[in-house]
Amino acid sequence: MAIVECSFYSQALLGMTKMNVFLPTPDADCAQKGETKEHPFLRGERFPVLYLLHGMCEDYSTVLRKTRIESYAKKAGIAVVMPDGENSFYLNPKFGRKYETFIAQELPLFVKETLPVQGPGERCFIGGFSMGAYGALRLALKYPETFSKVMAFSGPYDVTELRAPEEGYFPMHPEALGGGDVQELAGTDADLYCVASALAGGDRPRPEIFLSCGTEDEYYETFVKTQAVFSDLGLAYTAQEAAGGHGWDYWDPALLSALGWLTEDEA
Amino acid sequence: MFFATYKFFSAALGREVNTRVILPSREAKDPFEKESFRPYQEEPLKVLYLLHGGFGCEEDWLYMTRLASLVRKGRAMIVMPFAENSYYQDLPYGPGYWTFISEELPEMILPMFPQASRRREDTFAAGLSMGGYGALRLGLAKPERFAAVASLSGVLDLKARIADSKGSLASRGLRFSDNFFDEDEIGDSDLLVLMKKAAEQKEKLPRFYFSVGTEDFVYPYNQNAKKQMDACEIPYHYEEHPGAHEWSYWNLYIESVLKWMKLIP
Repeated sequence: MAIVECSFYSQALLGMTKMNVFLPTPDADCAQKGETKEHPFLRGERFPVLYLLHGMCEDYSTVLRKTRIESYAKKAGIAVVMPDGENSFYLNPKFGRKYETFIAQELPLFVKETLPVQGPGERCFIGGFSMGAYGALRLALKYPETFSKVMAFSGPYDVTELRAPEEGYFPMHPEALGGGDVQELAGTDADLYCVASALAGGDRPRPEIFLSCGTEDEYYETFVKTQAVFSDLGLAYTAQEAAGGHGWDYWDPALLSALGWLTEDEA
Repeated sequence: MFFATYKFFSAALGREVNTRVILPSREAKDPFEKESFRPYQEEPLKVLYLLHGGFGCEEDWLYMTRLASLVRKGRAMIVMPFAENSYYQDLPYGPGYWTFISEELPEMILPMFPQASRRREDTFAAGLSMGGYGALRLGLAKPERFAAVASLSGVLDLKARIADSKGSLASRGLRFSDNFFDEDEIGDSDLLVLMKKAAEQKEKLPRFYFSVGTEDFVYPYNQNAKKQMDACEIPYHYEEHPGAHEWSYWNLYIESVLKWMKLIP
């Protein structure tokens, strides 16, 4: 796989940001077998693309450091974009950079213009870990015309249950979630169940959903609750769980499994 | 602006290599549409392959000059490969840098950046010093692929350079003589030979640009190249200015090259 490390101006963020992109290209093993010329990259193919969102305290380099995403993506034959989201929960905050607009509106179009990937509404997928799982799932439910499939790993899907700063938790989310009491987010646009309900009540397209969580994960109950909410709303999903906690030991093999799900209907 | 480091496997070099690519993209001043982002520009990007000099790398032009700030205003993508001290040759027992820059690099760049034009009239090469030699070699050996090529302080008479630098750090570190083992003639690695061949074929040749400082040690090589171009009746644009073999010269005159190629307004 080729890797393209990018630094570029974002209109949504009103500043520079970075991302890493993996793309299928002829590798050493391809050259060894004399198969380079037949490689889809050299035939001008535009690849299915997965936008993978990192978690809290992380950045655009985290996923490629903590997982074997490159070999999984190569096997799946897809491009992977790993953008930066700071600690934004991938929302447009009252104060701060507009990460929802960036990830859901600007980025898929910008990347499609710049690199050989498919665009919004085509084979364009999203996924994420922890805070990135909340981000990916919420954005797929809110922008199903852009993202047709979503994979979410161990997300804090119920924002009203996020631990408050005074309980010894890092005070990282106040800016992203409005700075007030997280209870007040119920029923708002940051409430993922609210976004899901709005989608379920209408006739817009629905993304295919893959939810994964470790059974020892602190968000396992949220994972179970979210499945119940989706069932009640009539939103179809695939759920996978295994022994494991909130961390990369669980997420790396879960990612491989999810990519199998992502591409099982590809020819 | 969009800045990228593109790492891919090169069969010609036998390993993964980094190539720097920059292209103009959205700016702070561009209209921000609230609900959707229109495709930025429909016109394809022109492509300039910009080559570094001896003891340098793919990042030199970015770190040492104002290239990026000039490119912002234009409609061109700049591709900067790494070629160690190869003199853009296929090395005798080593990586094939000539095959890399003349064949493989465009094959790996064009599909990766779909905005890039594939037309000859939109394709250019330029470089400094060892890179000036490389750019001219591309223009002379592959005239059907380039609209124009430019040399800034290029080592344009390689045979003379080899003779002049015997025993010095240049001959030990830079690999221009690796292929020749004390031979008198250096075949197609000699730009002066390529000029003759290019003129004989009477194919449509690219436009040529030479720029050199009057205090530069490569000044005599540029005069030899000029003489050969005149003898072969190949037209070219030539400039000389006060200056030596240094970044202050290249930082200043890269702007002239970009304007002459019409890559910036």
